[in-house]
Amino acid sequence: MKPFLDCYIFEVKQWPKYGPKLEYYALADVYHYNSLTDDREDKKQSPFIQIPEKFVRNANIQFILDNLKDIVENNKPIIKRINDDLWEIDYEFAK
Amino acid sequence: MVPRILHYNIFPITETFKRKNVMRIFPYLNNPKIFSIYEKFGMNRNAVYDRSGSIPHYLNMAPIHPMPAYDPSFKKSFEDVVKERVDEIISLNKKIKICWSGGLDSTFVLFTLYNAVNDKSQIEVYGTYSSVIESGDVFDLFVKDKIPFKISIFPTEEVKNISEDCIWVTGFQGNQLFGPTDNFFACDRPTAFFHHTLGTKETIYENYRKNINQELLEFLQPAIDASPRKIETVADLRWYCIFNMDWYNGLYAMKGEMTAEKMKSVYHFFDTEEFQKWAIHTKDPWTKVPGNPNTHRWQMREALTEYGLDKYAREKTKAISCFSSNKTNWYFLLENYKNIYL
Repeated sequence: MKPFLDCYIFEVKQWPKYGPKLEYYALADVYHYNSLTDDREDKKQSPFIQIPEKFVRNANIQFILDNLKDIVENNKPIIKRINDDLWEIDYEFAK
Repeated sequence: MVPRILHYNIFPITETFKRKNVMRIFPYLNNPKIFSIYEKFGMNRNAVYDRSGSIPHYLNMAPIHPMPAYDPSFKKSFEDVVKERVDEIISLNKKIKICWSGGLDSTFVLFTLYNAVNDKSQIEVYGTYSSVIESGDVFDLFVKDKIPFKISIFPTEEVKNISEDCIWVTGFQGNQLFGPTDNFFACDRPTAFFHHTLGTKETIYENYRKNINQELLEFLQPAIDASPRKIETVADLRWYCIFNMDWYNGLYAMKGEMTAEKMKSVYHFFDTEEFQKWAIHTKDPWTKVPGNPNTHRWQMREALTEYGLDKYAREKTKAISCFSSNKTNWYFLLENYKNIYL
């Protein structure tokens, strides 16, 4: 059986918001997930929005993974909500 | 007269108070001085409102959902009330779209209705990618190839925009009926509500009077005295705080920014007088095996086991499911169903 999810997931923090840049969010995590085989309790209990990579434009996964600790710990607002089904990484905020 | 409030967005409202900018929400205030007390006691983690009417609120809330009174003649079991609700929903004879979070309540609702309908095509599933992840392998094994579904990032938008003649059924108010699990405390969670701040793992079955901040207790006592169910332990108080004070939060969390017409098509499965009476009167323990949070909501787990979801029923832990998301400048839903943006 083919799993429904077998991809990277962008976990997006709804809060804090970034002042006037209301559609910018921070990342809580980026991780690979397989919905048939993974049994990660922390991800099942995540309070954050979980978005498959195919809905994230401009996602350089390797760059994000390489810099994930810095991006997450410093709450860098690098992901922008374009519309309900499309998000985009803005690397300007990753610096 | 300015319409009263059904639901509010705690984040911008807290900011409004902290920036001493309350004049911008002046028409919606009741007793603004009380805000600092709510803040001090962690009562601004989510929208709370004392349905007994004993504790003042800083906002002008609409007291339209009081708790049922204690009624010694009430004898129905959980199964009785579930069956009544299932029959009521099916008798509407409409397409049933289940708002599925992947959590126990909405999974129970989904499979209970799915097993009860004669025409299986009457049921559709609407969820998020978080629903799929929260459910473990339930989506892959029990939904994907059997029940029509729509999984999206923000399904609330689907509910708001689809004009089809159907009803939307959610698992909301299940939390309010069953209360929190015994291992869910604000101190070790990134997201938690007011009732999760009460007590500790060690004190949960102790006398609440000796284990809750005395100043907070003094503030809550009038509401506790008005409880239709006896409150003795910290666990009882945690249950009461969600059953009483989070009722509006559950009821309207998804209905903010919806038209009045659309709201009428949304059925929170556990939002009935009978379910509330059951919660007030039941002698069943909330957690079947004390100390084992995976036996909380055991009635639902037993039903899910019968439906074949035994691994999920056995292992599902409590999470705060994410289903709705309102705009950041949304402040209030009023009793005339108008939304206020500032």
